[in-house]
Amino acid sequence: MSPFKVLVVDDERDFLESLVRRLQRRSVDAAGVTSGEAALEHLERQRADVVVLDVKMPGMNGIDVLRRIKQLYPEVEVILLTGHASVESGVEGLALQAFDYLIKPVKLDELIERIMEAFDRRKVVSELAGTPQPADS
Amino acid sequence: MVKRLSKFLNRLGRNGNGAPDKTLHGDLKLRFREFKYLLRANNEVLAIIAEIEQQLAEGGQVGLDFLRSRYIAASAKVYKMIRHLNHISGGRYPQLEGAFHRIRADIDQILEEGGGSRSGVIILPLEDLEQGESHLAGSKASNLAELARAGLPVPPGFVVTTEAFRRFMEFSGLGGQLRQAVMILEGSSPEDVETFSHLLEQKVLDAPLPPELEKELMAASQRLGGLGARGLISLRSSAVGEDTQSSFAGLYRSMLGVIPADAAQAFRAVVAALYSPEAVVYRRQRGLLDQDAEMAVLVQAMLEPVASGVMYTTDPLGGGKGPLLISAVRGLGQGLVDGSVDPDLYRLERSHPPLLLDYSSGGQGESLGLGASGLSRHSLDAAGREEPPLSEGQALELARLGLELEERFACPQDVEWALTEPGRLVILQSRPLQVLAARCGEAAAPSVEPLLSGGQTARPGAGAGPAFLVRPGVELKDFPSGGVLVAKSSSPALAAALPRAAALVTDVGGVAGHLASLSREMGVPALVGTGLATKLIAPGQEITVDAGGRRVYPGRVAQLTGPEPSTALCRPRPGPTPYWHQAAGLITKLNLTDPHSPRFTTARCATFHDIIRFGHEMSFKEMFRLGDKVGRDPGGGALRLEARLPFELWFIDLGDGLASGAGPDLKPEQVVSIPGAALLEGLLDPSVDWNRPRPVSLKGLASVFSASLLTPPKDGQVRDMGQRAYAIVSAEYINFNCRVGYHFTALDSFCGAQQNDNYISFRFHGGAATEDRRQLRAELIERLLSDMDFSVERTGDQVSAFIKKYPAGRILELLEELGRLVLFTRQMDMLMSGRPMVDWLAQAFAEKNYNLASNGGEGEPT
Repeated sequence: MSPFKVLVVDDERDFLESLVRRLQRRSVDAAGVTSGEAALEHLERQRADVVVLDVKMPGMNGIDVLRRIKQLYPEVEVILLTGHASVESGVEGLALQAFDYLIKPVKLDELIERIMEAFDRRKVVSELAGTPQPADS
Repeated sequence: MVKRLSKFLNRLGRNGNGAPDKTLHGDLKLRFREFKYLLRANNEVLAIIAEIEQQLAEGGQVGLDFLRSRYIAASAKVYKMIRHLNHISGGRYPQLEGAFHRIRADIDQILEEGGGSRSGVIILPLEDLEQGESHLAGSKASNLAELARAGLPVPPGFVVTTEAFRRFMEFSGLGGQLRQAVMILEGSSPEDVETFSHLLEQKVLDAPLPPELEKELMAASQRLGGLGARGLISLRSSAVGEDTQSSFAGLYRSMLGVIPADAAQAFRAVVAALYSPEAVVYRRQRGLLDQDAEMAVLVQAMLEPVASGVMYTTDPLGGGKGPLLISAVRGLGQGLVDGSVDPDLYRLERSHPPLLLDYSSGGQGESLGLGASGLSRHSLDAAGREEPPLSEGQALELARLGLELEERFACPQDVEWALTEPGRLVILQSRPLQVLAARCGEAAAPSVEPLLSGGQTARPGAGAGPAFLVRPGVELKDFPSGGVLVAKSSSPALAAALPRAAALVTDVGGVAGHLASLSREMGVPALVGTGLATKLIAPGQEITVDAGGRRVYPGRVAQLTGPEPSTALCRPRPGPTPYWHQAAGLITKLNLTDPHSPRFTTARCATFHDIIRFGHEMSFKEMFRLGDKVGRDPGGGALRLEARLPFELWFIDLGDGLASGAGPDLKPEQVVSIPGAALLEGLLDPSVDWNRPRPVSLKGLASVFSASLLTPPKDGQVRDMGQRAYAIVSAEYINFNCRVGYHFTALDSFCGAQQNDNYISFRFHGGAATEDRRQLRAELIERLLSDMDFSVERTGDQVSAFIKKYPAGRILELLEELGRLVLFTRQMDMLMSGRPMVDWLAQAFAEKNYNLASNGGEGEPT
């Protein structure tokens, strides 16, 4: 399994399960939740290095969840992954320091590459801030 | 002089005692990562730009959704790039974000308001359609509307627009599901794809229509039914881009003989065929994306023809010179199209008026007609079989219509027609006909031996003219109209000459580069990345460039320089430019072509392309500045290299630049940075023996130069000054800063898998010698760098050089050579006694005579 933990947040259960399964098959330590509220609960209990976050969800939307994550856990990197992209949500998400804004469909290889980059950045940022390092290898 | 020197040494001494600074190291690491993200975002936006331009170049057969989706993707990448640049530079370019928002607002305004009364229209009568609205109505309906406008006989009807399609897909949630399904299905087997496509088809068939669409569709269908035979209507696909280069012939669905009350279900059936397995597979073969497919639906009053069929205005195998062909069946033409009936065939001379050449019967035994609730078959009696479906007069009239259509659309046509009861001919559809190229086009390969072959076609076509080689000292304004532009790199600075160019050939560059984009935009045949063009082509030489065939011939090759080789399919005649092309231009056009121009500023960024061009250029400058930071304040975690060099070389690793486990006493082999190792290879080249005093007397030189001038200072003195050089490295990057002797050298290079990202930036200045000699040494360095293909600028004793978009192998060779150059030119000002010396030393370097051994070579000045 990967040295980093990924949390996938998407309200479409079929999509979520398929994506988490395919990430795990590629040795990515991935978990999934179906709402923004559940994502924040998950982060309270468990560490995640990278969050892959849907934007359009019932309840708390992805942008609100991103804002909250960056307040509570500024070093967690968030990749927005949306099927309903818009210029506004892209700019808003990136201005809120999302690591990237990806539009479905994304190739799995590309998604994994971005997740690894996000984790790499998280390590450097932690190093710089002098906070505890995420587990490595 | 002494004062200056001691100040300089003081600064170096302070540096040497600096405490390890972890923050600086981490900060460098982060900035370097931001630089890498920036490079990638730049490439991603360039790819989107190339995609949009290609679609527009192919006749503008794209839908609004295509442009919207690319615009959204590009805007996120551009915004990201600005964020990265500001991170690297510490916020030096705040105005760039303002430029971004201005451009964005302009694009939004065009997309939202440019459609005028059309935006939001879901049902549009055929007669209200205007030219240039195929993004709204699809190709089939657009063509038919044009015929109606010209007074040609077409059945009455209306279009359910792409906007209606979009609302249907989003209302039903199918759009999002489709995008997710495409992602889940990546890499799955053909069976899975088929299962998926059946599933999706079924979902479309079961999906609810938005209420306003259902209401408008039903009302319009009821009205239209009143005009149709037996009160029936037909629904046909009119997808965006259908009936063009990608014909999709027969892949989509037509619903004939539909009761108006069933219009909604028939609409779903036509749309569902967009996801039929055949259509999905066809799109994959053509490199089209399922999520880009957009469909309008053409609804027409049903006809009850006595005969119908297909007309080719020329024989598709006849190279455009064959006769006009009419295939005909009795009744409805469905069987003809799906191949279940052998039609009767009429061949006609394409004269004015046309002339019937011959007629042959297909022996049709039954015909297809309308029954009470749809289609039904009828056997033909003996008389019915004898009677030709078209009289000679009707065939001639149809042929005249065909030739009129051909003229109207400016290319051979594939026409579906019908003959209704009172002997009235009606056109159901007209689309460009695929005609195999004539023989003269095939005979294009000339007997002449090409000067060079290879490279990539940036824009096909052929052009001939005198070669104009872009080299240092040559002014682009002297480029002659009709000349062929030959350049080392595909620099956008050449854009100014492009409109006058017959063709463009470059050594370096890919099809996604800025200049390649410009050549497409301006319609100039362009062959890029040939590797050798500037070496093989002489200035002023007459050449012919066959960009499509990726060859360059000496002289003018007549069969290539005629009109553009006709492809199998003639291009649709360009109509008025749709309003949204303007929005596309705000993404793709490039105005900032010359980084040295005073107009190369954030304020002049008028398009997304301008922003990324500006950001890309500035990112090099900012990365160069990283070295300055370290020069003032060496970072913690710096490791000193154990190697014999005239200076201390310290490495700072930004990630995977040094072997894991590397510690103090770093060994050269532990430097695993690809560009770092290459530079080090050159620096440690044993044939450049920097430690040996230069020969005091050079054979042949002594007579010209006083021997005393040739004596360098003792190396020991230089070495003991405790000079430090820094190399900041990662796996694919190096930033090198060095003061050797009294001069300053800085180098910044990225060398990775993406050729488009690769570059070397090199700067040199200063020196302890007199002004004259410093200048001469700078001239020598300028000369050496020019010989290595760098584009070089020199001001006094300062030299800056840049090279980019070379393959990794060549970048590494150059870095190694630069390593030798750094040592070779060290203290050269002591030798720089006159301009002949510049020539002599340049030659010595080229001959690898780094130690200036006297060999009686011809290069010595006499």
